[in-house]
Amino acid sequence: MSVLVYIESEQGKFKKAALEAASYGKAVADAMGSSLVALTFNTEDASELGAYGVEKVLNTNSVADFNAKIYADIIKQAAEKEVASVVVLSSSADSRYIAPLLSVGLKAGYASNVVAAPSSLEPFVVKRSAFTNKAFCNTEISTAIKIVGVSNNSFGLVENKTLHN
Amino acid sequence: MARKKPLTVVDPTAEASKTQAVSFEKPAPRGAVKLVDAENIDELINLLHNEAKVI
Repeated sequence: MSVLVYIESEQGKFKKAALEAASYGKAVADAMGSSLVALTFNTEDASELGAYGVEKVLNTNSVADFNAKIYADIIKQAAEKEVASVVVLSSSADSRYIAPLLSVGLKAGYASNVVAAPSSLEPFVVKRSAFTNKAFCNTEISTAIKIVGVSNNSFGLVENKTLHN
Repeated sequence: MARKKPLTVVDPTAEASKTQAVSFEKPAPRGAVKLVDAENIDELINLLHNEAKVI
């Protein structure tokens, strides 16, 4: 069992929202006692991810341009290969496009706009912003595989420098 | 042209909800406003410097 995080990049450089998603994924993996696996597209150097707690990186260079259906299918395959029980995405436009397709593919519940680490693992409950940030909703995801869309600038970047010094 | 497009009719399938709202909560209320007397510039500077950390 593991936690899979989709790392978005632009011209080979990781986006800040993706690093925040990795930080979130690390918190979930620690809580579950599992490992954090990252999936990147078209990147050559993924060593930066180590600082955010990523233990294993899967990379593919097979898709040149963004295509939500193809990306969702590749993330699905990675989740199945790594036996991921939680898939973490950011809240970028691309991720919001991918998430529902991935949800259908994995038959997984999807919670968007998540602002905090899960308050409970069994059942899996996450806090989400609701009503255009005027309230929070605690949402339970009841499927075996859970998809979490981390809200931008909510969890922050958490580096795990001790692991890599 | 639109008439020539095939229209595929798909039967609906029953899908149970995979997520459920457990509870709702409001954000923490904002703190009380701190008023500083217009004559007391030193305290204002002190608060801005030490509490708000903006100067």
